[in-house]
Amino acid sequence: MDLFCGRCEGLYEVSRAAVVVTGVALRTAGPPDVASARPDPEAASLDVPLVARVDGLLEDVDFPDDRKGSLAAAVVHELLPGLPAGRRGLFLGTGLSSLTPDELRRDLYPSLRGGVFDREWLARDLEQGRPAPWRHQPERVTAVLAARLGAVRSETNFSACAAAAQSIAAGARAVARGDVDVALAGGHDSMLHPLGYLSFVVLGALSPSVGRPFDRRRDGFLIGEGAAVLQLEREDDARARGAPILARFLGAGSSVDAHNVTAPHPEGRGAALAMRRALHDARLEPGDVDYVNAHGTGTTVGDIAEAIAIHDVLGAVPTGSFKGAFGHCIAAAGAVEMAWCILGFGLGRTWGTVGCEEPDPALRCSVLLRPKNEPPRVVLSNSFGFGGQNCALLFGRP
Amino acid sequence: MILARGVLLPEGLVAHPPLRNLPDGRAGVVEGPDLSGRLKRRKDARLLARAAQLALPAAGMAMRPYAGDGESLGIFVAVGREPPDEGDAEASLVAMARTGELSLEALRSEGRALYPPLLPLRTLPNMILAHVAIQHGIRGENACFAGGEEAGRYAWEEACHALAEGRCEQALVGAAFSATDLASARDRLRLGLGGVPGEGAIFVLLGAPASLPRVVDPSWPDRIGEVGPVAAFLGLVP
Repeated sequence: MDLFCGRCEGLYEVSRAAVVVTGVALRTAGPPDVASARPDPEAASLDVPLVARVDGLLEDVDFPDDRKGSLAAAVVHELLPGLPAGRRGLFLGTGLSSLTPDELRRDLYPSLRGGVFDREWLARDLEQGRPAPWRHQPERVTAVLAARLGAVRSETNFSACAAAAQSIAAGARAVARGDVDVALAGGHDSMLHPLGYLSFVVLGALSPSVGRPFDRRRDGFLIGEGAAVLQLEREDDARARGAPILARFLGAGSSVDAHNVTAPHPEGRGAALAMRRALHDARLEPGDVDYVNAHGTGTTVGDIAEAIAIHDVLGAVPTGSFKGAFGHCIAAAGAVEMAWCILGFGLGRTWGTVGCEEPDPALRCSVLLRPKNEPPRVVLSNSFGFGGQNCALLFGRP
Repeated sequence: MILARGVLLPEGLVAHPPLRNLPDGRAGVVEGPDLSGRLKRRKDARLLARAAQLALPAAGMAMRPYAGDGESLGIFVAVGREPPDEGDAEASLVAMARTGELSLEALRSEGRALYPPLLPLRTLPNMILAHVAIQHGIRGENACFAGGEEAGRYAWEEACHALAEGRCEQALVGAAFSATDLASARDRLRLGLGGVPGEGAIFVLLGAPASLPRVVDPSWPDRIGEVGPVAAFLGLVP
């Protein structure tokens, strides 16, 4: 139902049905309790010793030479056979297009001459009928997969590293309002290619060693890739069809730092605001949260700002980060991390922080180093994006 | 309830020199814009892709009546394709392919040294939202949608939902888009999208959920070119 485009004016009323997770599909380089980083020749050429790559990924027919699209297709297709009937929605967060060496050779380099675009080459190129460069259209993957799902709604969120978390919030709210009956919501991203590495190397964001979130020796993040989607339904619908309930969506909050496009607010002002909004949205108190999956990239300033924000909002709550295990999955981070938290409910696990051996005493947060064989009741998961967009998700054990 | 709006659209279609070797050669191009006084830090100008340059003045017009501190002001923005690098990385790319093949060794040396460090920050589409938020101190609920006209409608709907659900008290919602550069125009042609490249930005300050006026004039693309997600908001233009 398209409520605000002139067709249904005046019909809106606030309602909030309980939303639950009835399916999870994800791809990461490994689980949160194992260091999955491996050497990669292209990354090594830029002095990046390790990356966290998803093994065994099959290339999707619609996304040739595009790991980002193939990752999304893999997780959507995993849940497709069991999707219930009804109005379906697809909500995906995504990142920058992935230029591969092949595309650079085939598409970009021939068009360059003397440091500028060769316009005559471009004019000739247009007459050759070569494959269209779809991957520069961020919404294309969502559109293709939405068509396969028969989705009545498909949204592409491009809020950098907060994109997947925002997509999960949007999908859950769409289900709660009744805009759709079932939503697949999450994100996908891969920047494991030469220009992807280069983009982060020149920013000084990647660790020259290994990712160590919250450790006193942290020096940048480990780059990863991945995709995840959560299957979200109204609880009444899920119970009526006897579907397994894996987790409950409790609430979400977002904010903007409005500080600097290249750095977080030093005291985590925006991060704290997003967490407070999520608590308010969920009608929860800070003491209700018993585990925080931090954005926790392992950068010097980022971890400081987040630790301040977590302490200010939630106090000394156990906090972990997955990014030392399977890396920072960029736009997919919020989805793959929430998905692993939800799987932790079923496995009876609270995940620790791979890579962190000596928590930085200057950080005001309680880093959970090793996993516990006891699942949390309520998890808050943070995702913060370049440009200062922040999103906090709250999910609870079923 | 629409409190204010800001519109920056082309006056019409003109011959656009960068596109002279392409089949049409025209585009809908906005003059300027004048960004003086619109940036908190002048050096941020080099971080602005063309669409972000258009967004700042349009958002500024829509924000005129706003008097709050930004904390309860939402921002919902629709964007189009990834901005091209406009040539910044070409020297690096050429250096990496001296022999016509990508050289990992050259990538490590000349390519790395020549690669502009701030380029990724400009080519991230959500930087439009970031720059507008920084300029106006907006810290509320937010989302950045990517796509064509439907992305603009999603941004509008999300703003209305956020208002209705009490997640923000007012919302700045809009879109910004530019496809008048050579690489974007080439890609449009290769994709068979047709039409004339255009650009523009429209932002609205919403005080309460409202219907997005329908676009009733089908001649917009002929007058200003294709404007991606901005097209969703053309019904707001008198």
